[in-house]
Amino acid sequence: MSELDDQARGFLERARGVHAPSTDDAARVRGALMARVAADPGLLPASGRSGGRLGWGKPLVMFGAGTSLGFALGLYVAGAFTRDAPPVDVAVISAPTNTAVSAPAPVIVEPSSAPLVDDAVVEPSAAGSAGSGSATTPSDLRGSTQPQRKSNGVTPRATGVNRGRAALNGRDVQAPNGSDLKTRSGSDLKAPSGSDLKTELDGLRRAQELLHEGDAAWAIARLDELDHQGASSALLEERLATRAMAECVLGDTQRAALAALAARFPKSPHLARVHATCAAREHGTAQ
Amino acid sequence: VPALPFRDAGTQTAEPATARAGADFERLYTEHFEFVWRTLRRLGVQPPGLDDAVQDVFIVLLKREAEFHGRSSHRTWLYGIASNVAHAYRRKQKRAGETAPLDDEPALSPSPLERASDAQAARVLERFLASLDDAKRDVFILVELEQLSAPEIAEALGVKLNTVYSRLRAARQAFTAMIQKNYPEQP
Repeated sequence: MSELDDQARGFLERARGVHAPSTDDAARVRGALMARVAADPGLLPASGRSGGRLGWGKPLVMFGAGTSLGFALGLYVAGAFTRDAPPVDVAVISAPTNTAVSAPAPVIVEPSSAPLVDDAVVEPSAAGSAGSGSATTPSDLRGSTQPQRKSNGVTPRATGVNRGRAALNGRDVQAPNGSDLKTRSGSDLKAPSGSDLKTELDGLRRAQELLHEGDAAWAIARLDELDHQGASSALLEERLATRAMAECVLGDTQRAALAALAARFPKSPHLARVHATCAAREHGTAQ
Repeated sequence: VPALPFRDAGTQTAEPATARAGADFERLYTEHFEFVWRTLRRLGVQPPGLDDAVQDVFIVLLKREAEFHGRSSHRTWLYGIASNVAHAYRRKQKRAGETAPLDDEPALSPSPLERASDAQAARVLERFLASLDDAKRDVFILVELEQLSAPEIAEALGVKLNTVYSRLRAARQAFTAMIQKNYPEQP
């Protein structure tokens, strides 16, 4: 069989890498694909259906239930998009639904058309002080007339530069170095028990409700509570995204959670949306 | 907002079997997304339709997973799906006039190979691949660009090993001829 000569071989080598997709391509297609799957539940096997050789019905060692759920929630998130919609126009973070509660609706924060929080509630000066590192509680932010949130006795912690350095499962989650990085499919995700997962789902959902209602500091407090409880980390990506969003709402310029999200989940579909929301927030604050 | 596909009504946690399905699907997507993307690109699907074509491949994978029996690798199985999807997209793009046939593009001005940019090389490669028939293109892509073995390709395509070799030989000869024509060696 004839072989390619050196000239032709060199040409092929040069052309080989050109068709590789960019990170943006990967995130965009992933989001759109999730939306399609979410729009057609019949695509995924029903319970008990025997799978093919792909292992649909087999337990996975590498990818625990946490990853599965993360993807499931990712699909749910992507369901807010249509195939033809621009990928980054609305900030959406998955909202784990509790079917005991009425309609399952994701937390949707409009970065450009609507303020992330009620400006009458969080004054620019308050947001500014949050970024300066001073300890500010939600009651400080909202004023003394605001009713206190019921949060299982949890008090939101300081909203300054230290806030973003949330300890997740007892570890600081600031951007790790390269060798520490693992994607969502990495094996560092803790396989949750049923109760752990429910705790995490409920906690994340509550944090997102708080964020949606404009109580970003309380949302962070709820996430902190989850961290301290040592709940499962199946939804770590969504927790980081929610925290990152809350940091932007509070005007935290350090954005430690966003850095942690980017470091641990570099292909996360949430990244672009959080970036867009933070940028819109910055733009709004600057005006 | 569509209902969460992995969640059964009345439950609060993801249903285990479907959650596993999601994990499996995500694993395959993560492992093979780049392969599917560049394969479709090499098979002539142009960027306006490339996103949708990639999605279509993985949707087909979801629908037909039960038909995968492990006789070939996931990669070659996905290549077969991508090939069919690309064929449909090429026809669609041609009907819509979205793209001129690659072999109708103006030829690059001959220049020393060393000075040809990667992008130029890619365009020439696209034109070359478009000029091949499906059988030779499949073998050339899988061997020369994806570095799969001939036996693996024979299994995936359902042809004899000698057929793979003969197609590869013909494709290589055509490629060499094209290079020599467009980039003659400097004296």
